[in-house]
Amino acid sequence: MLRDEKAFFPNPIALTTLAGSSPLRVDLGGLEAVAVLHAGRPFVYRDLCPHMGGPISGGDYDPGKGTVSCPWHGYRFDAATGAHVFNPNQETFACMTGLYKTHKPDAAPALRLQALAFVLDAGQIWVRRP
Amino acid sequence: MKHRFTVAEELDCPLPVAVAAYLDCEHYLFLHRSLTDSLEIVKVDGFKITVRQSWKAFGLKLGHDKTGEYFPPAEFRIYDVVPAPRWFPSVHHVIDIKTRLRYEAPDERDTTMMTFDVELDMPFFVWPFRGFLQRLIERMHAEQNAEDLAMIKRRETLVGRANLLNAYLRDHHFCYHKDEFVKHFGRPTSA
Repeated sequence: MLRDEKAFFPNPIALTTLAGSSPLRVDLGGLEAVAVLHAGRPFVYRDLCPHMGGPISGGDYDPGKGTVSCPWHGYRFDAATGAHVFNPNQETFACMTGLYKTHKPDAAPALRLQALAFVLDAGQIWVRRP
Repeated sequence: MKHRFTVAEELDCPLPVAVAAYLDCEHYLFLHRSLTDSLEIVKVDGFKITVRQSWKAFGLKLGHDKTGEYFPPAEFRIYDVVPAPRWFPSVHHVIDIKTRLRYEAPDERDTTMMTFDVELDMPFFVWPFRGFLQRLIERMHAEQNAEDLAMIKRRETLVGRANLLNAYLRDHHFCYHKDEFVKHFGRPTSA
């Protein structure tokens, strides 16, 4: 089924391609996105980590914890909401917390992957333009 | 017997960004995951940070401890590389490795000149393998450098070359020697 290109990106994602433990990088036709099948439901985000801009598609998907990660710094995000849930480096560098006056961890903004709305039709995911 | 060699390369990024990318320790275990499995801070003493870098092999956690020292604003040295655990049969029992990484800004170009000096102090029976060791170190250095540059170039397309430094200077961003880095490279001028 053809969609209005003003409202939707031209390249749909076949639902069957999402079965797997890795996030799928997709070119929607004008936007790079990452799609993941979590708990039987598809989720689509911009392929862009809100921390430093890394490609989420290069990270991994942990079905047990329901998270996807950024391959650059390892930040983990909730696969269903896109919300940042864990920075593994806080444990690695815990002994250095408070060492530098210019580091203020409490000032960290709430990071969230940019979710992309979509319509699922006949096994095809049609992503709406933001 | 000392074998010395130098790797020099012009990096297509501003000098403060090259330094920031080096100090941005939160990416070591992830962007450079092919080079290490785990990292532990052993000791922090001013500009000296000793870390334990490990790999999982045969059900064991094997690696080495090394001390990295920052010479502000843009020089880094690594030395005192010893096996961890100490009983682990490693080249570090017989070869003393020292490295010096310097970043400089060439005149009139918004790029960075990187100079990586390596000194391998080894006994005579390892001397025939110095070429192999050099190629190994050069390959690891090139791989790490390429990953860092790929990150920088992607960010450049996203935020622009003039804004590359901002993310590193944000209050919540953690990196080694951040106070000293900020002292030398200042605050960003744009959001």
